[in-house]
This record gives sequence, structure tokens and C-alpha cells, in this order.
Amino acid sequence: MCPERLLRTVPHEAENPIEKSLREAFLLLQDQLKPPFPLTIPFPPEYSQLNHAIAFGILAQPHLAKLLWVYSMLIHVSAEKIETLFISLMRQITGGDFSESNLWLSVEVLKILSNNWDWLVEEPIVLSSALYVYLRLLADHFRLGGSFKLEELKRMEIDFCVKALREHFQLSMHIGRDLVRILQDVTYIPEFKDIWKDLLFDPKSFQVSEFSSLSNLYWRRTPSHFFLLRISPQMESQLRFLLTFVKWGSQKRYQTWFVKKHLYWPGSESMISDIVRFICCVHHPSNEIIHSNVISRWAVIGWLLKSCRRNYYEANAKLALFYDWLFFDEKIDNIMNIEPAMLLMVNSVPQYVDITHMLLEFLFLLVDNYDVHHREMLAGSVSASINLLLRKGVVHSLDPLISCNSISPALRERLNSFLPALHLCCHKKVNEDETSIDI
Amino acid sequence: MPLRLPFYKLVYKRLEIEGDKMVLSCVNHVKSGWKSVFMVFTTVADDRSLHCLLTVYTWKKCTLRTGSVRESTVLSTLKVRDPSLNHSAAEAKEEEWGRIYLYYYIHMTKIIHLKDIVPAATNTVNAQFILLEKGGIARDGKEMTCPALVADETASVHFQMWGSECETFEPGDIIRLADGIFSYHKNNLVLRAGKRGKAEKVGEFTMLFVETPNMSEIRWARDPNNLKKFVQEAIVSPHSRIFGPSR
Repeated sequence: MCPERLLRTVPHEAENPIEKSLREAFLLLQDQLKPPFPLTIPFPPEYSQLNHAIAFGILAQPHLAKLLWVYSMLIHVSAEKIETLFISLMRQITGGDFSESNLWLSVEVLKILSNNWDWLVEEPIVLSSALYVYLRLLADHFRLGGSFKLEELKRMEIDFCVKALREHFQLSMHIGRDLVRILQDVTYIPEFKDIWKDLLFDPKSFQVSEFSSLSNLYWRRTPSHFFLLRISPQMESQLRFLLTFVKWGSQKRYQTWFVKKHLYWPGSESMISDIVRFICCVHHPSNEIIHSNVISRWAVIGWLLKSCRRNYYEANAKLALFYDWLFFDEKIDNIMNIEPAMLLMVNSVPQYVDITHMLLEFLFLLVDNYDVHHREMLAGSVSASINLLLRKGVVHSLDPLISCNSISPALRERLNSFLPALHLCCHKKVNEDETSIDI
Repeated sequence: MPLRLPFYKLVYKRLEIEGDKMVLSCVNHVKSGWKSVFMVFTTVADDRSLHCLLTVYTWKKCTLRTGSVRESTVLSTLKVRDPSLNHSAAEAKEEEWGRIYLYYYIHMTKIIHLKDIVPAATNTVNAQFILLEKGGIARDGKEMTCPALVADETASVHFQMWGSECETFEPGDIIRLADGIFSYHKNNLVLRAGKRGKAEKVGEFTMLFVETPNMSEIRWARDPNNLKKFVQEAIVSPHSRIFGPSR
């Protein structure tokens, strides 16, 4: 839903059902919107209809600024259940987009949040979500920044994020391990350099008892709702449609339209890592769909990786793909998060073996360098991931990779070393019981 | 009361509120005929919808083109066990909705699949399809024209855009055509809105399609039994020859 477009009548466009339901709510409740106002508290379904009616009244005068003013007033009167309003607003801020309207929205939402810290600390979901959103936006704004207009926004973003981290680390930790991932993209900003120093060498300074080392964050799986934050609702429904209904062989047109709509401007590549995270961690197709002729997640991820034009974004996308591998714990993590990476590597042989090669290389690079103090732990998690994927039959064996001559012997040997003894090359005997995918 | 919404939009709106996505997908495939309507409602195991349908059969003055609906048909389709009506205020409102649904159902134009279109000089084509590709914009006298490849789940066809349509519709748009015409226009067999028809965008992206058969790439001949009608004679090409198949 694009707020500015909501009530414009565009030629050749059928009326928007959202607009329709808003208008009907308004017409229905018109009388209640004038004084004398009823003093009874409405029931939840009536409440939401009342919200819709009010929203129509505001939107009918097309001024998003007014809407934001209403939202800030709602905070002021401690209205209930407005966290979803803010989450959906934040989802409308597009990543890597430097258009006037997008930056304006970014600033205005941040202003409301920054002016209402008292309310914000009572809303852990909004606080942690806002931190996630603005850390990601900061990374884009700093990388591609430079214009004077952005200075004020960047300053506000830094102040907001630093305050959330320094003063409310307990709530910030709700983000889980992806907090580490997104913090890495802003290390070169001086304020965050200091935060990193403390994270690594003085964790106690954050004054949270559960946080004594960075690895405490690694072991927290990031709840999936965070990955929706950087995907607009329209992008989400298109991706879900693609992965639920579109058959193998029919995906090309949809991919073209997707790129044309969401990934065509410079800077839009920044969203690819967010999309990969979404596909791996949020969209888990049912067994029925997995076994059907619908295009698989690994294929869509392969296409997205190929769409990256710059190394920086490609590396981030690969990190997003392998991130859960590095910290995988069967007790808290979901095999569906690690499945796409494995299938992409195995299925790219032999036709697209360069992809497999590139991914294996990257994986081992991560294990060795992502966190040198925890190298063994990372290697153990990767091993556990592979082990589980083999055990559950997601792939029957890694022979196609290990015996593939187009992959360098060094990589193949390294891969072999991660395999549990049962599945080492040349000792392959698939246990029939383990061939069903049990997720 | 929203008196001008087509039936499917009314149902769609109510179902959005009820939130049943499976039923929503059924609604998109509602063809004409009572059976389809009841099928949609039976998949909603919800008493309120049942009341809507009970309203239907209690509303005796139906002026259906397809003939009258018998009580037994309704009951057997619904497998209703206890059709007694309780007239509480809420249910009375549901009856009202049911009446409106029915009224507009009767007047709803039939949506057809592209595989069923036949060349004719009349504008009776009501279809919904997704725009796959656009050709170049040209001028035909004062107006702009633009050929396009459109498709639904059953077939594709060449759609001739006219005037402001050329710049409004983009690949990926889902378009609903009302009162369109499928005929020979300057030697090309194309689907178009024509003077009396209207095309409007109803969505984007979320529609499945096939590119073959292409109804414009079929050779038609007059039906020997009924010279006013056309029948398929031969397939000129499985895919559009203007817009190559997407591999």
C-alpha cells in the first residue's frame, strides 16, 4: 500500500479494495466521529473499524504528514495496539532509495520515535524493530551518502541507534545474531567503532547480565518478524506468490517484472541480502509445495545472487545465505533456514559449477575469518548443519561435489573434512530410512 | 450501500474481512452459474455465509437468465441440515447482504477464459488476464496504438491497446476487460476494448498464465452449421510470432 497513491483516481485502474473498505467504514461510522463522542470503549473488531474510519478521514485529505501527526498523537494518548502501525510504516521505507519522499518518510518516522522514548521503552518490539531498520538504513546512507540533505538524517539515525544500544541493550538483544551482522556494516562510523570495541573487549559496559561475550548474541536465533521489516508488503506478496505458485520454467517473466519494480535503481542491490534472509528464514514452503513442480527457494536465491552487480552486495548476500550455518544449533534453529544454501550448491553442479565453487570458497572464508576467536565453534556449527542436512535426507550425499573435477581439490578436501565419518566419500551407502525429508 | 460493485468484488471484500485466503482464490475463478457461487460458500464453513444463501432461496423473486433455482438444488448443494432461520438483528443484516449479492450476481457479466474466446463482431468478451509484453507504440490517425501479449491460465492472445491504455498498462499488470471484442482488425486477429469496452488494472504480478495456445495464432473458419460463428481450423503457431516465447 502506497499512502500517497491511496486515494488518487488513476485512469484505467480499478478501485483499490483497501480504499473501498476504508470509505465504507467511514460512511458507517460517520455519526460516531462527530461530538458527542461515546464514552464506551469499543470492542477490538469495532476498534479496528474505527481506526479505519479515522484513517479514511485523514487520508481523504492526501497529506501523509497529517497521518504521521495522528500517529504521534496516538502515542500521546497511549492508544492501544499501535505498534503494528509503526511496523507497517517502517516497512514502507525502501532500502537504498534516495528519493525525496522516501528520505522524508525516514526522517519523519525517526522524529516521532526519537521524541517518544518513554513510550518506546514500553514497546520492545517497536524499539528493536526500529533499531534493526535504522541500522540497515544507516549502512545504505553512509555508503551512498555525501549529499548535504542526508547529514541531518544520518546524525539522527546514529543518535537513535547508539542510544538504543547503549541504554537499552537488553531490548536491542532481542534482535539476536543478526544484530551482529548488521552492525558490521556500520563499523567504519566512529560512534559504532566505539560500540564494537566495547562489544568485543568490554561487554559489561552494556550492563546486561546475560551479555558477557559476543557469542551470547550468536546463540540467539533472530525471530523471523525482523526479516519482514526490510521487505515491503508488496515485495513480500510477490515473493511468496513466486515461491508458492509459479512452476519451474515459468519464472523468467516474473523475475523480470520483480527486478523492474524493485531492483532497478542504483542502490537497490542493498535489498538483496534482506530478500535472501527473508527467503531463508521467513518463507518456509510446505512439504507439498517442496515436492511439487513449483520453483524452489534455492533457484530464486541463485537468480538473486547473479543479479548483484557489485562485489560488496554480493558478499553481503552470500553472508545472508550462510549466516545460520555459522551458528547452527539443532535445538533452537530450523533446518529450513539452512536448506537453500545446500541445495543451491549441490544442484548447481555440473551446469553452473562456478556458483558452487564461489559458494564453497565463501563458506570456508567465513569459517576461518568471520570471528577468529570462535573459529572452532563456527566450524562445528557448519559441520552440524551439513550433518543434519544429510541425516534428514535434504541431500543424499555430497558426492556430486566431492567428486566434481571442476571444483578445486583444495576446496573438495576441505569440504570432506566437514563431513561426519559415515558420509565420507568412497564409503557411501545411503541408509534407506533416512531418505524422507522430515522437517 | 455499495450498489455498483460487481459480485466478485463484494464477495472478495467480505472474505477479506473473514480472512479466508483459500476461499479468496476460489472466488477468482468463479465462472457463471449457481454451482460456482454455492461452491464458494460451502468452502467457508461459516454460519453467516450460510445465512446469506438461505436468504437467496427465501427471496422468491429471482429473475435469473439461467432459469429459476429450486430449493432442492440449494439444499443439496449446501448439504444443509437445519435450514431454519433465526431472525436476530445480525442475521437480518446478513440476509440483506445476501439479497444484494444475488441482485448483482444476476447482473454480473460472465467472465470467460481466453481459451474459449471466438472471433465475433460483438463486444461480449469479459476476461481477466496479465500483460506479458508490450510492443512499440504507433499512431493510427490521431490515436496511439500498441500491440501486447496477454495471457490467463488457459491461453494467451494479442491485445491491441488504444489511446491512453498504451502508456498506462505495463508488463506484470493484471487487467480486467469488460465488453471487449475479439475480431480482425487490419488483418490481425486481436482482442481489444473497442469503443464500448473498458480495460482496467486490478492488480500486479500475482496471476498464473500460459503462453500457449495463442488465440491470435489460430486459423478460424466459419462453422458450416452456423455461418455467423467461427470454429478453430488449424494452429498457425503454438506461440505468438510477434512476441517470441520466453524461455
